[in-house]
Amino acid sequence: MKKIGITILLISAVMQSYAGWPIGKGRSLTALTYDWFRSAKYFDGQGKLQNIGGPNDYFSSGFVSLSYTYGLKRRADFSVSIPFLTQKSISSGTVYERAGFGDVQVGVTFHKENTDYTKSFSVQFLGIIPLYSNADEKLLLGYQSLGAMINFNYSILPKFLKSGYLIFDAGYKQYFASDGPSQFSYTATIGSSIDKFNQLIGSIGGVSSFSINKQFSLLNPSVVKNFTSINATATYGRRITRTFSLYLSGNIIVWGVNTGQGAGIGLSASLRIP
Amino acid sequence: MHSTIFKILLCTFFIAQQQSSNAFVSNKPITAKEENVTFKIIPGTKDAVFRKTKPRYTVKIESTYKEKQSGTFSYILTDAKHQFIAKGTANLNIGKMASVSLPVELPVTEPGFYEFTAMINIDYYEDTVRNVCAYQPERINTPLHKPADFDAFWDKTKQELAKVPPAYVVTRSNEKSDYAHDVYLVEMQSLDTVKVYGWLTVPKLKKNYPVLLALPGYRVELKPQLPDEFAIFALNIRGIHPSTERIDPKNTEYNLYNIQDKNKYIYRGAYMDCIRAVDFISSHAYMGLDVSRIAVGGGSQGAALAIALCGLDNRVSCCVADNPIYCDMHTTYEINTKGRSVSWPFSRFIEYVKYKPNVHIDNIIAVLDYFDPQNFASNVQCPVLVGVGSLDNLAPPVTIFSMYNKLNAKAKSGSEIYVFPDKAHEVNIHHGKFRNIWMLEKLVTKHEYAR
Repeated sequence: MKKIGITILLISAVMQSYAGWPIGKGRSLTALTYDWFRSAKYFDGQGKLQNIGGPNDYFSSGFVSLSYTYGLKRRADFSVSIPFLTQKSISSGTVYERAGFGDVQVGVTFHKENTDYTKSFSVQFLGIIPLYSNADEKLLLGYQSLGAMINFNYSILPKFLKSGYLIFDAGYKQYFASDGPSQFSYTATIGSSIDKFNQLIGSIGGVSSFSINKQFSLLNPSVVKNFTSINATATYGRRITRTFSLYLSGNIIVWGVNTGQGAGIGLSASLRIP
Repeated sequence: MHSTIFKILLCTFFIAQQQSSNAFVSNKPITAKEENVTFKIIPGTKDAVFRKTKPRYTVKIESTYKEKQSGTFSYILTDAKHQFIAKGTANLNIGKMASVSLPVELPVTEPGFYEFTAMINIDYYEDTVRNVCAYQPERINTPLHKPADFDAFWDKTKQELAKVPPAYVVTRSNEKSDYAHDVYLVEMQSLDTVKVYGWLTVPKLKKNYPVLLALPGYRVELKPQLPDEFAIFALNIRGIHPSTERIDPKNTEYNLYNIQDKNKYIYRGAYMDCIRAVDFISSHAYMGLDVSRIAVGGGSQGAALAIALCGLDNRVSCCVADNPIYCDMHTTYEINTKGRSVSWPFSRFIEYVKYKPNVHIDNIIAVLDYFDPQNFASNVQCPVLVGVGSLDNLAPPVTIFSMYNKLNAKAKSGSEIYVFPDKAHEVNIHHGKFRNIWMLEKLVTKHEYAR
């Protein structure tokens, strides 16, 4: 008996919700992220590790970010992120604290996949808008400068990595203040699904920031303009429902020049609709 | 020595019918270890579909012989019904270890699919290659053969179905379920109280999954599928195992079962089985199904069922149909009877009437008109994604476009059709991933019936 059919391949729709692949026209991804970072040491201008101050001195920051990505077209996404920061710095027994909104990033991403959807290349254009003023403040929430950023992303589902992926990011950020800075950033990420619900992600990346302003701030090392840093991050992701996922991460600055050294943890919740 | 020689020579390129005037042959030196000739025809577009220009090909002939080759290149152009359109001939002079390239523009004027048969006959080699191209396929407009009582026939059939209690029985299969998916065997009553079965798979991370109703290919039994982004209801229509308690055409051709009577023809019940499957999905939201987001999909017969279902039931949000068979049966009949050979499914219909002296093929086609996806197209209310294999004899591409072009404006506004030039009754494997992207895109908006 003749059998004629085409199996409609319902490959477990690999609708990558991670960076690099388009979110899908009309779909949205909302993520709420909390990162906490603590630094009691810093890398000096020669890359040597130094104490920020006395044994009780440290700098810590909390970073809450609400980000939203919306699929404008099949291969074009709109994204915006609004951060809220809390900062605490203890220097020689004096406690400095500040909280407020940080730099909003808003822009669009254009994607191009290869024919078998195993590779995706994207270009992202972002504008940076500060929502704060640093006037008369000891702690700075950011550079307080408008800026722009371009990011390139190349994501792969390699055959040698079963249920895994690789992501390579490279970006250039320019702040428009007279002393910039200009920043180059890069990240390499490897992710792998343990099963349908759990995944592990590891990444290593760095930033090189260039400015005529070479100053280092012991009070707030996160707003130094001329520095280099390399950091590593490990993340565990858990899919809770079809649309809701949680991510727990730990990160550490492993090396740098003119930058704070420390470690942090992060928790992120993402909701994809529909 | 010869590899360093670079010659360009114009040769006589005479085409008997209409022909482009810029045809030329260029000889380029090549290197190779073995003596051979390769002969390729390369369409001017990736999918061999030409919407803005006449179909164009580049004919490439590469010779690694150490002697000059001379002879002819010729082609024959026929339409989808294998009718002669044009032919052409050109003299060839290929240098020692050289390649030549011929641009050819096909003299077509009417929208349609065309078979380009190219031949070379040179001193040491002769070969024939074929390719199918499309010219303005979205303008293909074959006559509609929709019976006058088509809508009334199906309204009455749906009323009959509505009177049959569905009597759903849902049983979880421990054997088929895994740590990430619950799989259920669903039993339900359809037209004429025939029991039909399907496999429902719901990912365990329950939260309103869009549902894909998967419909079977010809005589293909669908097994449970294990998706992550959808719930899937894989339906086995009547006559397909395990839905064979009352109707089991295992010793006969499925599509001949009661074919002489439209009221008893197997597809009348099969189409209602598909509607019953939507009834099931729509009434089982509590199982984690988002009943406002129902997609339907299938290939071959499954595609024909999907299109018919969308023409009969507007609860479906989008339709994926690869290589739908049974479209535009009148054109299919002409293609088969005028062609080199008769392909399935028409081969079976023709064979059937041979042994039934009182039945003419026209009687069969008249019944098939009630089941032709083309006749459902104007009633389809949702977007349709169609895949077409250019070399498909079972679902000839011209018949699929005939159906697609008859979708109403609302359906067509979100619909897409893709042609795969090197495929017969199949689509490119990567199209499967695109289908998922497309379906999720179309399922963003809740269907108005469920709002």
